[in-house]
Amino acid sequence: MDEKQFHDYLSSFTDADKMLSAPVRDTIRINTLKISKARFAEITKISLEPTFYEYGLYAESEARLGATWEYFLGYMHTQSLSSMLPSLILNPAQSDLVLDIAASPGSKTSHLAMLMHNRGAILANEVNWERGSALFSNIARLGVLNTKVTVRDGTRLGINTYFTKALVDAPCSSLSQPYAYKKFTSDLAYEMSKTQKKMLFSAYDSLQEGGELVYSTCTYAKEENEEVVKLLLEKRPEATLIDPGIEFPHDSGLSEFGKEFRKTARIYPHHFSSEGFFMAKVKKG
Amino acid sequence: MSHVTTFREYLLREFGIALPREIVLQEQENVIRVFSKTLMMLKPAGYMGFVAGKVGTNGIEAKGEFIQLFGKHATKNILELDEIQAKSFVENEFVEINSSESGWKIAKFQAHVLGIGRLKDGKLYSDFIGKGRKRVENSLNPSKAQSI
Repeated sequence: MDEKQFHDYLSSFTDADKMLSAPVRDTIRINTLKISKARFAEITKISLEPTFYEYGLYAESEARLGATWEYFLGYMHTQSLSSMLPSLILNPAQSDLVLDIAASPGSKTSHLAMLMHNRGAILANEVNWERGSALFSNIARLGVLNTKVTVRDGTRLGINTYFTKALVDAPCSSLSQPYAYKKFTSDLAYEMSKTQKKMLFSAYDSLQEGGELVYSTCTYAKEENEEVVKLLLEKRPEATLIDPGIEFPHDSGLSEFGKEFRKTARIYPHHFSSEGFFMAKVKKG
Repeated sequence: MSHVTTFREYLLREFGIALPREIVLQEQENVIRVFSKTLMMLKPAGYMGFVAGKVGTNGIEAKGEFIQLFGKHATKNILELDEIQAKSFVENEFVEINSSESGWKIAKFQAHVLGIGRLKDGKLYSDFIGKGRKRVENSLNPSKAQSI
């Protein structure tokens, strides 16, 4: 896809000019597993600005954010504001058994652990050993203690009726990332969607009755977003889309998939200067 | 004696660190891992928490990230570094220390626990080297806290 084709593609569901001209700002998440927000504000020289999420902050620093004392000490994690939302929407409790089916590099896993105050339990799965090393490293740096790492194929997890919550941050065509459109084709979206569907079903089937999951991607392709969730709703009739439960700027999912997709969220850079994302929250039974 | 018991005794003897009751140490594939007690309710097999250290033929070793998290409970064998020494501790193989002492030391910079190092012949050897070079390009502690 070239630049013009990408513009036309985006125009089919949003204001492409507005979206493409919006800046994407650096953000950090304060890691309260290691430091309080008040203490962080005392010790840091990174210039911070509040967002809609109390621990997610716009950050400006002369030093690379990943080469700061704050990062080394695990007091913060460099993470886009959009990518903080799946964990917030999943809203895990300290008693939950949580599956994070595609966990590397561990940004959302460690955020889940933070929301759970290192209690309860998270199974952080990653199919790839190489990507798994970033997961292990972030877990240690950020002081995550309630997480067990497995290296398995998430599309065939084979665990049934076990977890109370699940996060499916699926591998995707990453169309929200700079210049990803150059590699994007409908064939790529189709191939990705096959894996995404298997992964979503695998995670859904691992949930207990009444369990909840969040499905997210960082792409705009409907084949990898609404279409994947739609298939789950068709094949698992007891599955329902539910409201994200928190307030944040977003567009609803594409209406062509039905009224219930108003409960899903599409995030574009012009919403709060962060990368694009899609999120859907599903309840089992 | 199990390696976990040996490791616990080492933490207490060398640093005065007694881990909170809700924290579990467990040996897995020749390393000692640390995790929350609540994680034990998760049945599928996998790697628990993160590596706290190991007990091997070269003696007992605690890992830097483990000490960063629990070093605040230490009461002894703590070495206070200045900013230049702290940066060197993180980025280089060793940092020069004006001391005739030897043995494992918890390295601190102001109130921040940096990790653990071995003091020998006036040099503190960092645990972080060998796991990839670290970099710190900024400084901490502004004159005034930010309002966030």
